[in-house]
Amino acid sequence: MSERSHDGVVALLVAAVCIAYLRGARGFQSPLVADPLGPSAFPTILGWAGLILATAQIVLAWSGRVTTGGSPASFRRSLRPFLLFGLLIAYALALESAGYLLATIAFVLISLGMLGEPLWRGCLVAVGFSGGFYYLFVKVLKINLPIGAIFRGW
Amino acid sequence: MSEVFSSLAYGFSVALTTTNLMWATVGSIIGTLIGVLPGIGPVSGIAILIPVIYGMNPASAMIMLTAMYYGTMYGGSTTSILVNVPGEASSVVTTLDGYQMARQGRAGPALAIAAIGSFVAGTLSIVGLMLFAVPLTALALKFGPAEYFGLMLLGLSSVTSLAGKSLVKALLSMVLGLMVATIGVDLSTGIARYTFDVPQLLDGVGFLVVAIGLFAISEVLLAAEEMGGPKRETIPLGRVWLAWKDFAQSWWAMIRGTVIGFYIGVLPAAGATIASFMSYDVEKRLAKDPSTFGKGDIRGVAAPEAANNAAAVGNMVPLLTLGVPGSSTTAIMLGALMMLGVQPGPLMYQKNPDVFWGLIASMYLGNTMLLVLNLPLVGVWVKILAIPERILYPLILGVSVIGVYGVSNSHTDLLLACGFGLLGYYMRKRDYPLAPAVLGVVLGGLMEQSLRQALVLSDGSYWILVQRPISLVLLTLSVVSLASPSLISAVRKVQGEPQF
Repeated sequence: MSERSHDGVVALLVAAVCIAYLRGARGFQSPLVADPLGPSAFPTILGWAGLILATAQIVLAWSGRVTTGGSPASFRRSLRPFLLFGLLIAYALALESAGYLLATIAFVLISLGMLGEPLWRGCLVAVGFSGGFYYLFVKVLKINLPIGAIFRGW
Repeated sequence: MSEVFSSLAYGFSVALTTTNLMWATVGSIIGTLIGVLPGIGPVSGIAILIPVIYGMNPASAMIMLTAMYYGTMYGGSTTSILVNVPGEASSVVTTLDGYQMARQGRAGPALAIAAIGSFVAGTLSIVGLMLFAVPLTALALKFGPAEYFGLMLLGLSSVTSLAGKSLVKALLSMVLGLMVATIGVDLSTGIARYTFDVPQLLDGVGFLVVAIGLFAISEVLLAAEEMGGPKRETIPLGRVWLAWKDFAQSWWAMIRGTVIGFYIGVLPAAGATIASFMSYDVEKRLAKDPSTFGKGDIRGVAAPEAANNAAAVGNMVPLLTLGVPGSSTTAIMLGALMMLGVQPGPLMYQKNPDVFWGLIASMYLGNTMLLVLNLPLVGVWVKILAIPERILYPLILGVSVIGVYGVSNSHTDLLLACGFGLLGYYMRKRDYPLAPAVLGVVLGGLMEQSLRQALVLSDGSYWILVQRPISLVLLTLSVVSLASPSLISAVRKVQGEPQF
């Protein structure tokens, strides 16, 4: 897909979101007479503004007057952010059940490995980082971090 | 005037406590570290550290954040001079002559003039901030809901007008942010909006979630894709010292940079980047031999470094007096203040004098601290430059996740932050600027409330927005600020001048 049509597709998606947003705004009915604007007016203004801008962007994209992003990356490089994002989601989901320490060490170690860091250095960084931040959050800032289902009985 | 000085003395009594001095030191060091580290910009760096200030006394928190803000500026110039890699957009100009000086074996004087220029500019601009802040605050106290609506619209439009390459994309980004701000229970009627029966969304989407997702997570995702470029070559440092001749040659460049930087910084959205480019341009035009610029002229380092620091202080004027941020970093600081229960704006001067004056006094201290810390420690910062980027990325993501979870203890917030991270990644790739979206989230709720209150006062008539003179001026300025970049660009094109 060319850069131009990519921009147009993104603008189409934005337009679809704005339409859904506008439909949602229709359902907000205010019981208060004293509030002339009500809860739906501001979202309605925003929805229409978004829709008009998205339409302008679609026109600009297909008429050629559009600013495009950077040069296309190789497939392997383009895959990297998605792999990292997948790991991030897995980390977020595992945080409560596995606990902060296990989940963080595993996340840092695997992502460092994925980015090409040697295992021994990855282990050192993962353990050092997780321990350091545990100390900062729990001991210094008194912010609780999940200990995990495995360690709960200990 | 005597009231200003007595208030400043009170500010110093707040900033000079042991605890606040410690936070200012920590903030300066972390800020410089963020400025120096590859792969993380100042806005993302400050965003991921917001959880650290959660629960802190607001005055201490702001003192630390301000010191960090300054620190990123100082750190950014180090990488510009030694590696030819600007830590942030406002340091781009410094690379032109700073890196050339370093290549000629004059890295020490370049770093010294950058630090001294920043110190002089920061200190002088704080005087300007004090002089501007009090009368502006007095004016803003006369504002009603219609004026507040106009003010917020001006803040949004001015940030949007200068963000990114396309005005349409910047406006879409702003609308997206405002849409996110409507999620949650409507405070006037108690009706839940766009919550999709998820109880955690009833309170709305937190600013921290959006800021960390859009700035920090997205930055790492994009950087991971672009990773693997040529290895950075660091130029040997030598002695960090400035000869009297160099200082004398740069003095007026620093002063001019300060004046230009502060003036531009005060204008909403016309931030440090424009200030540094403009001051460089002015110096080049004033020079007897402009051909020395770009080949290692010390004035080409002194002027933009002074200008970007002065603009950083100037940016604080609309934030502290009107509650309108002028840049991405001050938008993050606005959100942080609101998270701590402090509403920036004219009432902050009365309700939270400790935060207001403590922060101003801490700027003097922060500048001194950074000068004292940075010149002797520059060798340490250079060593940090050698850390491979790939080690930093997982750590930044880890800090982001722990930060969001630590503050909210909510899985929903965590997943939302990841979602905003992916959205931010796409926005960056497609040239959608992020600052208008974050500002929309921060100001959206207040903007809607102001509009509704204004319409209650006028029995539903929109004319109230243009009938009140201040409101009319603010609305006109909003339109002008949106239209001005296109007009300036068109004029430059006609005149054949280079575009910034």
